[in-house]
Amino acid sequence: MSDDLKPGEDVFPQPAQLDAEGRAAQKRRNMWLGLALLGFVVLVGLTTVVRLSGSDTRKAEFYYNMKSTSAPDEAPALPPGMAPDQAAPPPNLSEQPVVEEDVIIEEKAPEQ
Amino acid sequence: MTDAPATPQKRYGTAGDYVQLLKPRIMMLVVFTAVAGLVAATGVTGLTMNPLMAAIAVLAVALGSGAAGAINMWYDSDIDLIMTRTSTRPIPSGAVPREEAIAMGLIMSGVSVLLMWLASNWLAAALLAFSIFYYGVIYTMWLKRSTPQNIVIGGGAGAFPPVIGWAAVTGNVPLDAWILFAITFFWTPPHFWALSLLAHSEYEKAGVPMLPVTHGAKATRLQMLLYTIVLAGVSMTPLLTGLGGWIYAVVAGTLNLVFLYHAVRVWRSHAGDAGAPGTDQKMARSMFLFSILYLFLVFAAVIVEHAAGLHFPLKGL
Repeated sequence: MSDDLKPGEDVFPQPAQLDAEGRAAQKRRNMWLGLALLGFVVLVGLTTVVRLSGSDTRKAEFYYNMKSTSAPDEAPALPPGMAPDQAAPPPNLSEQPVVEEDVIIEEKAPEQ
Repeated sequence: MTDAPATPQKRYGTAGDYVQLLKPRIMMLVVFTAVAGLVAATGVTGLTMNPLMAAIAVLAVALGSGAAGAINMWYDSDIDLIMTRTSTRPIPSGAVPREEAIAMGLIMSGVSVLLMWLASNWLAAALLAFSIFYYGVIYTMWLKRSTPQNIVIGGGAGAFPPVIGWAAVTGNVPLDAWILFAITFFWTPPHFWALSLLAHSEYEKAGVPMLPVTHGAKATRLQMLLYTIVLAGVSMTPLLTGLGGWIYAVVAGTLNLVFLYHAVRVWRSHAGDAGAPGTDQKMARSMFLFSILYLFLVFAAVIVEHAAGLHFPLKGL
């Protein structure tokens, strides 16, 4: 290693020295790259907006819409010969689920 | 064997050089046939596509075509330097470094497929990805330098755009879409071989096994005639499925007659032979130029019929 060189100067290549024309070309290239990147972002944004505006979030059942309050589009088809009132739940049944009291069953140890 | 390529002179690339890297003339034809597929799918199925999404899908096809072109120029830069016709391309002329060309090609491939998927559906995106792979890898890296059937099989890559356009609208690819594929597929050999008859010495110098180099000009002229006959038949099948109507029948029928006339004329000539007269060479050149007009007008007829509400199917077929 020559004494004039600083540490690392002989290992790492020096950046290319561009002349004025080279710098101008590099600047133009960077500008086009920037515009292309911006165009890509705009296109992705547009497609996202168009797709979301055309979609039905209720049907999509987004995860934050866990408890859907809307009625289903179509009632399920009844079996042949069954009237709608027959398909309804019996009036003595509550819509609230019945919570049964816990029953503790003690297991007896087997007799010896 | 190939001659040792000369070292390209270093110069700074302009925006025009980067545009040339995308093969803009091929891109125009690709975009046009993709639009034809898109419009025909709308006309035949009645399904519509959001106009903005359709425009982005077409842009994705254009970007995909450009990406494939950049990959092709990156890989072929060694033989492009040897052939006079291609020696002024951006890489052999020293305007664009090879590594920039491949980086551009790969990034544009990803962007085009992603945009297509966002704007339409996964099938159209997958077809676009496959067509880029077909042109960039199967044709450019494998077929082009290994078999005289290179442009026959490789023609499949250029035939995909109408199928992609159709899939972007409907999400599937029925028979009509594959008919548009077949028209471009069978059009490619007579189109490309007409050019290679004129430039076979260049291909020979570069070591590319084009049909006139490996089998001679006479065999090539016969193959051109045979493929033109097949193309004439295939291009009339839209009348059977209802894809083409009266306007298409008149346009395609007339174009087929003229194309067959060119093919017979070239077949009977000595175009491509050593010492062939200039008039014979002109016949091959005029067939090459007419083939471009042929594909443009056939697909234009499809677009006009389905976009302008002028589709009147032939009854009884």
